[in-house]
Amino acid sequence: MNIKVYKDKYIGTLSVATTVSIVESASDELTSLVAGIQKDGIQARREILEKDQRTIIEVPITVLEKDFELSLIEWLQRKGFTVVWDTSDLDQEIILQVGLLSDQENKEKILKELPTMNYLEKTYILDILKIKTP
Amino acid sequence: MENIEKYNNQEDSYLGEDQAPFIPEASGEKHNPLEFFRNISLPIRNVIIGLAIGLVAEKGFEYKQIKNQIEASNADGEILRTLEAKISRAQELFGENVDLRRYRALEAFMQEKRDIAESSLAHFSFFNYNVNELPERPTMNGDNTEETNGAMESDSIEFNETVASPYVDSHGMEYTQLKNEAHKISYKKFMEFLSNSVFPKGAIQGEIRCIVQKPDTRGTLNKSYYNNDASERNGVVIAQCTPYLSSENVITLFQPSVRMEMNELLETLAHEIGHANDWDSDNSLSAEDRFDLLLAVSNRVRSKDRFMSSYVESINNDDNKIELYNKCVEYWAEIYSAYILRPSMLNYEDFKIVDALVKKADPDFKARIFLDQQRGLFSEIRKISHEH
Repeated sequence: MNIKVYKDKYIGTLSVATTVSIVESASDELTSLVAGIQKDGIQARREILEKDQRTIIEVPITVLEKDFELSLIEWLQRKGFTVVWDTSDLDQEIILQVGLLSDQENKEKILKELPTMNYLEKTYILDILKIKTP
Repeated sequence: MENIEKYNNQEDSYLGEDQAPFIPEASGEKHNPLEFFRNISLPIRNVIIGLAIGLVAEKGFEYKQIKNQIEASNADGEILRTLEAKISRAQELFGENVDLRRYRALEAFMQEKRDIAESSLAHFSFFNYNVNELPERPTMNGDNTEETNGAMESDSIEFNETVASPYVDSHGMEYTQLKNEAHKISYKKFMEFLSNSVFPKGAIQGEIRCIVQKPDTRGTLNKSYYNNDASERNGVVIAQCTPYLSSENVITLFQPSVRMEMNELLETLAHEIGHANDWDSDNSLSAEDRFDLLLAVSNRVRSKDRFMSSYVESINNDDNKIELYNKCVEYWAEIYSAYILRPSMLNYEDFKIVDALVKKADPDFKARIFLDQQRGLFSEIRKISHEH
């Protein structure tokens, strides 16, 4: 899984599989962050639900554990980064649905704006398209 | 005429020569569909009736199957129209984890509270309104007999303010500022910022009694939990959310909060404030609202395109109903937190659920759906806090 990382501006793309690595090039900040992750792992958050109390705890997690990808995204967000993951499947579905539209003007507008849409906007557009083209 | 002749010429016609032929349209009498069977032998008649019954039964079965499929996989909250249907669906999914008695008691409690406020207003004495007149909020058992939660009884904190109080530790040290290695910010400013600039109306007021920081305390879990699950023993406690006098919640931040960046602190609080505004804790929901919310969340938890959160995905329990319920609890807190801080990461289906609840209390609240609005929020808190 590839995730794009932003801090005010785009600073690089991370590839997360059995290890965390930088895709192509990245800022110095992201490079040293990745070195730290590889060395020390990260802290994942869990919540303990008891009858009258909810407790957030942090536990150490390494790249080999099954929730690492998700935990990494959440950890980066807690550290102030904005993370955008790959949504190519969703993009394909939108393109497919847009193809069924008869309204040429809207068709072109959606396809033009698709690359800059965030996940919420994409899922919203898909919801509307599904209603329009049942 | 041709038809009449044809009819009269039939060999097995039961009409006598002097009888007029039966023409339903002409006679004005109603045609009896069973008339058709009089000309068919008994075994064939039985076969036809059998086939018809089979067809109807099959259609009925098919319909029931489709209905069940829809109810199991689609938006329960939208399909189940009546409260009774919602209750039975929730009990089917979560068993004893949904407490109808408590939800109904909460509804009655809120109505009583509204009635008192309205009668006070009627006498122009709202501002002298005596807090002791308020009815006590129902406990987890649906009655008012349970004792105050023990966790808060030992604290020497005076809860005079509605949303925030400084913490006085066992040595008499009073913290009027949020203790943080990187930032300086007073509790008052911090709470004003949360109430006025981050969360919608009704999210903190009436739901969160106070946010307490215990910068020198290492939080602990209950001993019973340690005994049950050794895998989390190395965990560091970050924050706890505890009911206060069974009516509101107290959020306690422990030692690690001293080293947190402001956005990390906001993330932590947004998750916990989400819990305080769920179907089980929110003070302003009707019993039906509670079931609607829980069922809508449970649909999303079981969806392929659900919001992915390690909080939720790491939950396991041998009892499927407890597991699903706990996942719903965490899922809600996660989508609520994302709605407040970074809604651009939400699926529109999740956004709709939170937005509908938020708009009930604060119709003018505008979610920060674009990245620059989300970044703006974090830079705003950096502005009001001073770096050391």
